[in-house]
Amino acid sequence: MSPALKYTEAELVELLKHKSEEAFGALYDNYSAALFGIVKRIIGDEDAAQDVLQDGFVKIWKNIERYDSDKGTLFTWMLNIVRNKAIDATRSKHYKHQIRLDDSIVDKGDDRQVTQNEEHIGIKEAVRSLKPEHKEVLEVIYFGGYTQEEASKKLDMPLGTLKTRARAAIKNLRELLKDKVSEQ
Amino acid sequence: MDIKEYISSGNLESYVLGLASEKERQEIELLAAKHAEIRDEIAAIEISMEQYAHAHSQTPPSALKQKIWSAIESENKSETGKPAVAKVIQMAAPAPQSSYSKWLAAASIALLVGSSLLNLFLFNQWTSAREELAQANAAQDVLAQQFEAQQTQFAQTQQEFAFMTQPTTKAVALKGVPAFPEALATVYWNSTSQDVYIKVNNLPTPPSDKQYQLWAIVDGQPVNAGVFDARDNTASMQKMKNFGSAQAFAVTLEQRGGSVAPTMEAMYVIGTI
Repeated sequence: MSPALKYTEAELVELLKHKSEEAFGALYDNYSAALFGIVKRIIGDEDAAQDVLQDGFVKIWKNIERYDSDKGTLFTWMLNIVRNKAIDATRSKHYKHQIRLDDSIVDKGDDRQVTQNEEHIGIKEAVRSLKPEHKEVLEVIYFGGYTQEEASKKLDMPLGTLKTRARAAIKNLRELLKDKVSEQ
Repeated sequence: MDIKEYISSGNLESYVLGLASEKERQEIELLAAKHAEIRDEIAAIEISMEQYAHAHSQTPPSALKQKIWSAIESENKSETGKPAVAKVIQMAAPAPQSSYSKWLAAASIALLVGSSLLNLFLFNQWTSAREELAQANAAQDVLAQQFEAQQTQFAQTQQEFAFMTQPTTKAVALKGVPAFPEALATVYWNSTSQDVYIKVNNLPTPPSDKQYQLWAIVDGQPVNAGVFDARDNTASMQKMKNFGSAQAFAVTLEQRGGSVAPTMEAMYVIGTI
């Protein structure tokens, strides 16, 4: 899906099982920035976010045999591990557990800290075109690290509405991404 | 289940976004295993969210890559080599819980000891109760047997009494001959039914190879009226053979089974009607 990948996901998973440094390098290069972006938004603190990313990668490395491609993509599996680490960190170290909307490139258009990958520019544009209520719901859910109940409280909407909104947001995103892909 | 409806419920989005509860997660994974449509939908959501994540990516400091690899390598070494330092820390770490755990452990041991003692006590109680019950049952058996024996004897006595009190029953006292002056027996004879009973009042216990024999003297001739054992039960009457009219009765000691003719020297008692 992403032209920057040197390996397909299946090849990468196979490579990781051999536990070579090359495999680690490939995994890190492909996913560290995306994962770090999320961890940073959940935690806020730069050093703490680096620690969480490190713990996350160590755990991913140790548990790679448990990854089951039938159950989802490698990224989703990795994200769940890293996100859980981030949530644990916010809860144990009393970081402010709040989503930092001001950090979001979507709102500020601030690309300084953001990876400048050519293939991501179209996606960024698509994300920028999301409706505000869709942006909000995705930000809170995806970068918040909340349970259903917490997210529903945070956004002040019933669980049913939250699910409908999330679905509409992702549908909107999918359409925008599809348009970007067909434009290129 | 309507797959299209399930897809539009928003549950799959919740699942990919990490919001689903454990129960929902399992449900969705089962459904995905069964239905390709759900699998495809999940994959599409995952890919779009992955792209969304890439759009928000932030490159960590370049030194972090090497730092993480070192951490992975030292993790590998500690796993294959000497025991991990981390493990020691982990054992010491849950200090705040330890006092509670100690109390819990102490309470468990106390409960275990208490429960064991109670078990021992109850077991002893049960054993002695069981023994007492067995004794009581045995005693009851003895009493029941005694009661049965008493009832049999009572029924017999009633029968004998009824026989004795019939107007047609005659009691004939057989008195000891000069050789056995203490010997005494009574013959009850009913003239209507012709039934004959003998009651031993006092006869010496015979040797085991001998029995007493009752003779009815009919027209001057002794007629065999049966044998009896005086040792059996001296309180009870013994039914003897029937015969016609008799003038006298006599008892002799004979060979076991009786004799054809009485042994006159061994006569103990005699009585006339």
